[in-house]
Amino acid sequence: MRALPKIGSMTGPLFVMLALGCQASVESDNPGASAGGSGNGGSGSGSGSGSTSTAGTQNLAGGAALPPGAEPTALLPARIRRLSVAEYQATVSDPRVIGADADDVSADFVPDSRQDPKRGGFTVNEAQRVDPVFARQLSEAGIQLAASIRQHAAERAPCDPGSDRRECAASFIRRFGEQAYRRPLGDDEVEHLLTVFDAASDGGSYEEGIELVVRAMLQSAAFLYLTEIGDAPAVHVKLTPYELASSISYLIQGGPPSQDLLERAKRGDLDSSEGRAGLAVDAHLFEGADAATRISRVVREWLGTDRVSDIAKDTNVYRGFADAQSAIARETTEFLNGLVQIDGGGSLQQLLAGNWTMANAKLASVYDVSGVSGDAFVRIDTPKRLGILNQAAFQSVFAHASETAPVLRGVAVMRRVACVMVADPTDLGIAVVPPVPDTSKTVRERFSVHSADATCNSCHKLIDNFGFAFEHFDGMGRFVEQDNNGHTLDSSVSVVGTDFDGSYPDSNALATAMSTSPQVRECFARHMFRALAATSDPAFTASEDEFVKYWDTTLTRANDQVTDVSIIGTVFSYITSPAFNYRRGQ
Amino acid sequence: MKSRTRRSFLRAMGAGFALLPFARLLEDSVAQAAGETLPLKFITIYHPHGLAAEYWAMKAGDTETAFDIGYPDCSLKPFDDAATYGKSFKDKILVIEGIDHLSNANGHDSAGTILTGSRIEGSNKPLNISLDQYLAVAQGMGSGTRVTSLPLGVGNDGTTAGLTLSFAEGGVALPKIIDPAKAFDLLFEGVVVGTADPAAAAAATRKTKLAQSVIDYQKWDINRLRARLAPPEQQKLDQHLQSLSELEKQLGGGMGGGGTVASCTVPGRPDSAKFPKLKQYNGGEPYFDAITDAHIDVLAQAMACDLTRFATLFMNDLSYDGNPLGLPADNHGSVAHTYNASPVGNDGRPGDGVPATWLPLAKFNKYAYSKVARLMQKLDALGALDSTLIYVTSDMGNPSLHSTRNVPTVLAGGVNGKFRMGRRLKMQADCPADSPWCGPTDAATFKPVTNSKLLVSIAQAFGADIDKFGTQPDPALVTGALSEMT
Repeated sequence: MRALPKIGSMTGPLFVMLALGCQASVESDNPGASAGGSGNGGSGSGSGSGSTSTAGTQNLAGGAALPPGAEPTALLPARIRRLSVAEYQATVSDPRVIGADADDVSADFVPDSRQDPKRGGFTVNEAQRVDPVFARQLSEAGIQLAASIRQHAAERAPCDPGSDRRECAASFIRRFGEQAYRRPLGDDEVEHLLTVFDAASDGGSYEEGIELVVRAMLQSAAFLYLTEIGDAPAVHVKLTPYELASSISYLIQGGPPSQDLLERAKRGDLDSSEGRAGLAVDAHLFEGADAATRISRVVREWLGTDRVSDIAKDTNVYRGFADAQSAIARETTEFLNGLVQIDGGGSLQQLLAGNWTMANAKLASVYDVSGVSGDAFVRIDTPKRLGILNQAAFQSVFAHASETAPVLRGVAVMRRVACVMVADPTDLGIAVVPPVPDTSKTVRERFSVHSADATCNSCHKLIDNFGFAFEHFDGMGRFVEQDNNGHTLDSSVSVVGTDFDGSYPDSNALATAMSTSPQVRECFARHMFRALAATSDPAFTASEDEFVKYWDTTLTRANDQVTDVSIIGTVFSYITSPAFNYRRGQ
Repeated sequence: MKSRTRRSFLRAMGAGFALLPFARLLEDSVAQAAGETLPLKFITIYHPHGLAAEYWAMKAGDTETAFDIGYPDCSLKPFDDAATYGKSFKDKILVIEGIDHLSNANGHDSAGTILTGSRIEGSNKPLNISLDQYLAVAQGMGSGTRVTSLPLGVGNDGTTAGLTLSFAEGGVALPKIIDPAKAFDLLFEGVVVGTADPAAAAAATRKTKLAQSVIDYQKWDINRLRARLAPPEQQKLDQHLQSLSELEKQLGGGMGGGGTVASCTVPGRPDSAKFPKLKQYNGGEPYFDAITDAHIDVLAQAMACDLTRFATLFMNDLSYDGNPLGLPADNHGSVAHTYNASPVGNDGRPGDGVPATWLPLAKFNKYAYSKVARLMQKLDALGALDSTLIYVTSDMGNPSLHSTRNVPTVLAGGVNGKFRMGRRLKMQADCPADSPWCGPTDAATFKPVTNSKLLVSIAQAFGADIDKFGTQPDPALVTGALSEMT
């Protein structure tokens, strides 16, 4: 994967944010921080430790003063979340933790659970738990990873002959622990880990003791959970520098914070919006394969195309699918990478309606484009296939095994791209019977039963038009003029219920309209919030609304009109939002 | 491989084993008189693609207790095939027609209804715990065994409602183990049989001590974090703590639970070379048959050793070129979706259907039942079949309609005499004869027999004092047992 270019080359949105950051001021005595808390800057009544020492007593008081622009009622709650499988892998693969020996250790882990798929279904979310099967997998991985440290104990946990091996172990625990836990360890933690060391070294070697310590640490809560709870319960909680560094790092790069980021956080450089905005220019956070992988994951999960590796097609109908599947899956990442290289930020307009993509020979064959050879992805023009929704991953995922699926495609576009929250039949108490196969009709004709049935019609007059627009793409994304039974296809539609209502000849015209729609831009921002804030829980709608409000102020405008939205700019907007490093006590 | 009675097994464990946590449980089990009823065990098996009812439903002349399942192409034939399975299990099955899974969801999302009796809500999950987890965890019936419950799957480790049978409280999906070798390790790892070698016993003791030390630290660390959290956040850690307790139970070489053991043999570890790939869509398909067999063999032995009393097995199809059933390479698209039923398989719809489409699906059904028969044969040989209830079903009835009504329901095993086996039952039709097309929204005419009633019957057979299981808008749909079971 090619590296993303320097964020410094980003156009409009970033400069606007930096400018905003300069305008924002973070005062120590904040008049806006009145709701519920006394603040810790002016009154002195709340020390930051609050008056509670036991969680759950609900007698929270004191706490952090909120910066200007941070709406108290819209703060996310103080919370924890388990690392996703990809985050776990990135963390143990970090050379400061285990390194290359850890590669693929999570390959057989149970998949991440997803929150409400109607609202995103991102893998990074606060619904992850450790169930018995996963606990056992973590245990097995812990044993494997610890063996690697033991093997390299001379370098990783040196102990000179004659030294007190328990002191050597304590030193290792503090050093390794700060990397694995992304924060310094408390004395109580060191003490308990020394008990683990003793269990193995008693009757065993020093190295066995170190091995057991690593095995325990890499399964522990401190390793597995990211915390956003500050130093102590309070009405308003400010993330500790370590929590802040981890938040930013996992959010942008999907892995643990660099030493540089930790140092910046410890110095307080990241406490303010403008401080965090500075990261874009001089911390190189968006450069490199990690950031590219993370952005690609967010976009693929947003649109549901991450599932393209986990589907199969009827081999009688789509015989070429299995062979092209990995190329189809890789296109999204390559396309995004290419997109970001243009302007450093990645244009939403281009994402949705660009007339090009990246393809290798196998994908070019699906797209019926000649002149591409080999496995390497190169840029090709696709005038009949505009943007990511018209690419094969989206068309394959939202199709059946043997035919297209206008309802799946329509619902996906409505919910994921336009945020029109059409209900499931389940919600309405309607039993669905799929239209009976009939080779004398096109899929569109078969689904026309929806418009004839009053119960179906109220929703499907909206849904089906979004889906029928894609009729020229078959169930694996090939452009076709006729269906398998030789019928000429009709992709003309009229869509209603949006800010881009109108008649469109096909999905390319529809995609072009959506690419400049304010409704679609906002929907994108909402999904980005859910991915970045790691929650699709509707209980956090106030936080989402507040972010969207702030995000809107960061957009580049010409003549009062938003010109475009930057994908990376939106990530940055989230990080620089005033409340980013504050939480409310529960 | 060494087979032992439980007494000789215990003798063979030697002094080192006596230190291990399960030794006392085993002593308790031995103390119980021989011949006592073995503890009841519960296995649920899912098979995909619904049913070709034409080769499954009762025929003219069949009665509740006198019926023919040996005719050509009958999918139930493996249950009456002594030549293949050593004996006929016809008197150990209870075939029930007319059970409905009211998932209110697409047929493919309806597996989550099988053990929950719940609708599948918009976020693709049922609303309550599954019966296996209710009995094993909530009622504590699995707490005495080394593994509280065993979730197995073939080819797919996904946890959405359509891919899962087991759900924790609130309908939280639980993952499956798709590698038979990993299932073996979970059940049998560390078990020391047939040796009194002091060195081996000492090594086992040390291994357990180290693992316990790791778990002790994890528990301390979780509680350290937990104390700093508000109650809603603390709940995120509760399942983690429970999972650690489960790991703790698996430490050491304990073989059995609190009950008596039938016949305990520690099998060899499944040969992973027989399934070099495991996952669907990633080259695993040609090995699904071998994976299924390996799962079944491990499962039967685990049940016989009383290592677990609750298990689920989520089967898969054989969608690949040249599969042993001679079916098209895509079972889903070319078998299930092409099924064109007669009225017996069509939720009452009229029309003759296309007989040529019934046979491929019946062949797949028969394949699924052949695996159940294999499990029965193994359990029987180990003396554990009479104390086991196997519940076999699919997410759908008619697969081309994605219908979740009239699902294929087969109970198998001896069930410790709690159910009268060797019968076929036919539930009342969902709709009146003059309105065969009625559906769930036709409240006045639609009278389904939900699987909730079956789940209540099963719960009662296990001694749980409940008369309701599942979540439906009308509580009557999830209340009461099936009166015909005993």
